[in-house]
Amino acid sequence: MTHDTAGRPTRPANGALTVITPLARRGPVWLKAQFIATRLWPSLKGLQHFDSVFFSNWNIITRLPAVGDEVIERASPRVMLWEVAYSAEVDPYIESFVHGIAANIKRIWGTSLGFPGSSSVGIVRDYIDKHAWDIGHLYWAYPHATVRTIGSALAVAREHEFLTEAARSSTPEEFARLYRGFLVRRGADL
Amino acid sequence: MTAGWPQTSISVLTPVTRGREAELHDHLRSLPPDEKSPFARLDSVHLARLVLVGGPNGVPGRRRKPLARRHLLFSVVANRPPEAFFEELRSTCGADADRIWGCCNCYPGAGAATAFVDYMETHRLPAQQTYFAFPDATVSQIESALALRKQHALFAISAQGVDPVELLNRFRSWDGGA
Repeated sequence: MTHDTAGRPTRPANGALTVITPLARRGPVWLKAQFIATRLWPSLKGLQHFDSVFFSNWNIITRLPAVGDEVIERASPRVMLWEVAYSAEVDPYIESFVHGIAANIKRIWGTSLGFPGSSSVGIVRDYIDKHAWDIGHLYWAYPHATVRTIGSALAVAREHEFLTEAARSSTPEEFARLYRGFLVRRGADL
Repeated sequence: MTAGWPQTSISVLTPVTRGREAELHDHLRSLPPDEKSPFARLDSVHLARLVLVGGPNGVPGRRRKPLARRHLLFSVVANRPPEAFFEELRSTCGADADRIWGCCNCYPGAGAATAFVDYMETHRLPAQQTYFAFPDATVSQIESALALRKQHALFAISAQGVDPVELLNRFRSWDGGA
């Protein structure tokens, strides 16, 4: 277990999931329509409300490239690949995911075969477990930083530039006032 | 030109050569994590993962088989367009790439620059939908910001109760980002 500068314990590592679900016959068409809609209205994704998601990615795979003269797959696979990276324990992460965007989950995974609905965390968790694949190797450039920590750090860095400029040109009293304001706004981020 | 390129999700799915699945599985498991990972040498990479998917699995009835045979899924989040990233991967981690994708069908080897990039491009999955918490931040910006935040926390503690003149002098002599 590591600790941040204030001595609070931080998570030892971030997590990631790789989930592949088989799509229903019309699944790819319906999913593509949804993805077009979320490109036009990004808030439909709903993920911006989560402070634990670093990154999420959805792919519809309907065919695989042929390589050389070997037949790689006899049939079109027609699957959805979901990859996500997050900074939370997996259970609370799925719990907040289900509670926060149950309708989005139902819209997206409702196109997958066997999806049982998003009525409870346990049901979604079981479905994800069933379709998740073990990650053979995972690399993070900043393995101990959470989404919240990075958001705070970037906010502090933006204000730091302003403080640096003020330190060059302000009187001590002016700077002290600015610095106090900085602590009021960013104290929780330090 | 890739400076200032936003975070990009790149996923590549390649079929594993029959009979080499176990070798690749063991090799992936043996790759060192964190800063000793081969991907740590690529300064544009936020996150990289290698996952063996598809093919027969040992737990009967556990899942429908989405892919009939074993595939290697490589996915990365980097501040690079895909083609530039593949070239960076080839030129920086060529030996590691050969060890990994050498277990995959028709892999041309990192020594063949154009063929390597073509191979990765051919097997790249088009990301239909992505979400990034910090879409424009680079790895170095995030690392610098994390370090600066720590310094600010220490400075705030050390500057408690000092008068304005002393505060300004201390800030000028510290000024973590200057």
